[in-house]
Amino acid sequence: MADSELLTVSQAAEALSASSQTIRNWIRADRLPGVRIGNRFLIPRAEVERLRGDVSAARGESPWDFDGDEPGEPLPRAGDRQQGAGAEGMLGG
Amino acid sequence: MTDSEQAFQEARGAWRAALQDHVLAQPDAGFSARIANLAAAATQRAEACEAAYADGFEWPAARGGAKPPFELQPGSGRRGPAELWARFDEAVAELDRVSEGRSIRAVGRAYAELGEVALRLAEAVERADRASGLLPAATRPRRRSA
Repeated sequence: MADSELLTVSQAAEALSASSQTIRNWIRADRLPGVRIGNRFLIPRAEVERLRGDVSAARGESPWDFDGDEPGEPLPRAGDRQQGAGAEGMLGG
Repeated sequence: MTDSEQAFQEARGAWRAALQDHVLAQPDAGFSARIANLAAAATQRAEACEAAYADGFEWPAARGGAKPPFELQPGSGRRGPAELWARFDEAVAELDRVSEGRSIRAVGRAYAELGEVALRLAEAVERADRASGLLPAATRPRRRSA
């Protein structure tokens, strides 16, 4: 497998908008395949791309993430996703 | 930023700080204190989630599967009653499950359950550590003489 097909933990974290700790946790939980080479994990790019499609709908932080001092994202308002989705109850006729 | 948003961010900070203490800790006499701190932070998160729910916010869905710090995981040699740790593991699994959804109220309830069982664990571990001498015996309040 060519080197460009394997990503480091930090590269996978950046691609998935997750922390490095989360990536390592996913590997340990068998949610993301990782190849151990020496003292580090490398992740197949195809698996990262596959997971990116699944992750795109879930961009919140895990309860067990604590890396970094960045402030949290603003809370979403309930119903914001529903705006513009259709006019329920306004059936014609 | 609303009061509930501010409270939510503060609770998030307290929770993350409590987690970091667990990750950096050596297996030592401070274990019960760290669990107690985590319990307090979990309760703070539960209250903040309930307030945010009342203000019309929802939980930002997260990808599940993350694990607590090692010293809180099964197989780490964690001290304390097995039945309480089993309840703790169930609460962790429930928190992970509901965090993948959008119900901030469900997440708050999961934090509340986690906080309650963690507090009981902290108390149990502290009692055991004092009995074994790992922690000094609790001092009794002095009686004032007549």
